[in-house]
Amino acid sequence: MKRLILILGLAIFVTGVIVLLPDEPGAANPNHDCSFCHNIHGAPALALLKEEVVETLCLTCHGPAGISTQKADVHTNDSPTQYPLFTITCTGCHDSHNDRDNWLGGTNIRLVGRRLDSTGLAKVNTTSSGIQNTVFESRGTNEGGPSLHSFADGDEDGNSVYDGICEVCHTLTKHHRNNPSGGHVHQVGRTCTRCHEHVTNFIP
Amino acid sequence: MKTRNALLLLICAAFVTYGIFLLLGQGAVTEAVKGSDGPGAAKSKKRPPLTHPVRISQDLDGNLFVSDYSQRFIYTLDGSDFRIKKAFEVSGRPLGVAWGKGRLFVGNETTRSVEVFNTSGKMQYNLDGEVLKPTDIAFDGERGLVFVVDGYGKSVKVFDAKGPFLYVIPKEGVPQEGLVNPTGIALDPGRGEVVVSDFGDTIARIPAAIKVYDYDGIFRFKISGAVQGDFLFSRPQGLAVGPAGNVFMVDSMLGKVLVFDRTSGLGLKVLGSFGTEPGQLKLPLDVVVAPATGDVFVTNSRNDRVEAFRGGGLP
Ligand code: HEC
Ligand code: HEC
Ligand code: HEC
Ligand code: HEC
Ligand code: HEC
Repeated sequence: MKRLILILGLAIFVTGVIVLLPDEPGAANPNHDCSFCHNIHGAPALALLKEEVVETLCLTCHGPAGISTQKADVHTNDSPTQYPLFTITCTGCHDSHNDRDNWLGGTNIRLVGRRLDSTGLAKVNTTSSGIQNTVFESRGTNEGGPSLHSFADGDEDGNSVYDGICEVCHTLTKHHRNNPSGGHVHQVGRTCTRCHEHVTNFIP
Repeated sequence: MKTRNALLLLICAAFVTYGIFLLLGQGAVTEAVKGSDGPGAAKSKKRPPLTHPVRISQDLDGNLFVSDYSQRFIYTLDGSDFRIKKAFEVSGRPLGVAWGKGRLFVGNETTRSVEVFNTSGKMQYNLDGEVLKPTDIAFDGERGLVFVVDGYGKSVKVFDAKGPFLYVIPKEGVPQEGLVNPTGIALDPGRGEVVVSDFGDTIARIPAAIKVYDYDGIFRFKISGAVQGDFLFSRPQGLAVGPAGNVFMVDSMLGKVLVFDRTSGLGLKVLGSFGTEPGQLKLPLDVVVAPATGDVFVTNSRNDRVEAFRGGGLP
């Protein structure tokens, strides 16, 4: 009986994937294969809609003992902090499928910014400013990229929109808020994740 | 759009039913304990709480040794009350840890080597040679051998406990089942076997498996993750060989300890389920079974604690 249901579920899922594809973005990031995340033995596929399941899934490869060379963790301030407690999981910043086009006409890299509505553009569901566009096309000057359209734009493009991935949510931080207040010069253009690493929850 | 919703609903229903069936098969005395400083604990050095436990090992007196990747510490916990008895800092990110006759073998991801400490955390020496990613370690006291899984080197490297590198598993130059993406390791010294978990490669359609070699690195048999209905697995991590010779393995995605019969390769029982409640696991990464009591200890990595399934290792 159990097996029957499983097979049924899988069959329906596979059909589902085929039917849904036209609506779906298509290919995954070249570093990922569909099989990395779908049709995982013993794990109900639809559970992928639950954030904590997806986080665990990512960490099976990007966590300490995982097989990816790139190690990651969530953005949180669980140590003593001056800010209200928050936790941003992987899909708070990343799309699960592909690099999305951004609202300025370019394409983001490293899966930063996710598809959150029918525009399909790279966005972030921010902690206190609703759904916002985000632009991330360069890994910053330490990695030999341009300063413009990297982690925090400090409004380098002068369009009055603070859409860098490391500023789009911030409203209280000392540096790099999503509005003109506070400081916008701290390490601007640099590769922020050199000091604000995933594995230390982005806290320097 | 309508068909899409209907389909999603159907899948949902099918899987929920399946999930309930799975749940019915559970039941073990569990205990969720976060390592904490007991009243008598020496507070000589500033010591962070355990937050990202990765690998676990035990000595003969019921002490547990746990590596914490995020804190960069090795903790010694009392296996009965989970009091932190000792802790020391590693310079780099620790992965594998194995107790061996008063020494601790620690795989350091940052320095790409295995460092040998005494149990108070004093560095003694290094095993010779580079291990690209020393992700898990096992020790055979009788023979004085240390087995180190090299995650990126995609092999097991065998060392003399005093330091010299000896050989590689699987044995090179022999046409046989190899390792694709090895993660965890355990030994069955009685049978002279090395048990290794392997993620496989989903793109190449190589399923995850537990692979068993003899001490010389000759392949004996495997337990595939793609065959047994209730015992399917895809993200296998740490392993242990229990008192009755059964193989215990954590699946980091499923949040379960799967127990297999060594002789038949058949699944015997399941401990734990995915979640955050006591007895539940989120990204479990390693397991040990205490030979005397049958207590099963699991590094419950995303729940920031070690989980105990008391007596869960008894048949
Ligand atoms: C890195 C993990 C990952 C990979 C790789 C991946 N998916 Fe997904 N997929 C997810 C997650 C997570 C969801 C749940 C919705 C979400 O978070 O985007 C999902 C949802 C879906 C859905 C449901 C529709 C939707 O967008 O919600 C379809 C269809 C799908 N994936 C197809 C694919 C195909 C086809 C591939 C390969 C080209 C693929 N996925 C690769 C993680 C992944
Ligand atoms: C089956 C293993 C696996 C899983 C599961 C997985 N990844 Fe990956 N991911 C990889 C590998 C492999 C790479 C390539 C880097 C490397 O070789 O380690 C990669 C690369 C990436 C990159 C860099 C992409 C780029 O363009 O350079 C991002 C971002 C990423 N993964 C995010 C995620 C997120 C978010 C999830 C969960 C939704 C996830 N991954 C799940 C294996 C995995
Ligand atoms: C606060 C936003 C944020 C969160 C949360 C986040 N990431 Fe990232 N991630 C980024 C950014 C920005 C980059 C690009 C970094 C770079 O290019 O150096 C990145 C890059 C990566 C990469 C590529 C390797 C690297 O370090 O550059 C991987 C893999 C990855 N993330 C996985 C994850 C996983 C898995 C999680 C959840 C455990 C996660 N990320 C959570 C923002 C985030
Ligand atoms: C999805 C939302 C989000 C994104 C994206 C994000 N953050 Fe944050 N971050 C927060 C929140 C919420 C706070 C709390 C302060 C606030 O609200 O401004 C915070 C605070 C911080 C703090 C201070 C934490 C403390 O407790 O002292 C640092 C440092 C930080 N973020 C770095 C980064 C970096 C670097 C990036 C880009 C890789 C990033 N953040 C992207 C939500 C986010
Ligand atoms: C050379 C290391 C380094 C780099 C590169 C770096 N930071 Fe920082 N960052 C720090 C340190 C150290 C602090 C804490 C001291 C301070 O507030 O200036 C900090 C503080 C912060 C804070 C404020 C946290 C608070 O308490 O409110 C934010 C936000 C932040 N950085 C974002 C970024 C962004 C965005 C980038 C890339 C443009 C970046 N950082 C690059 C080291 C760095």
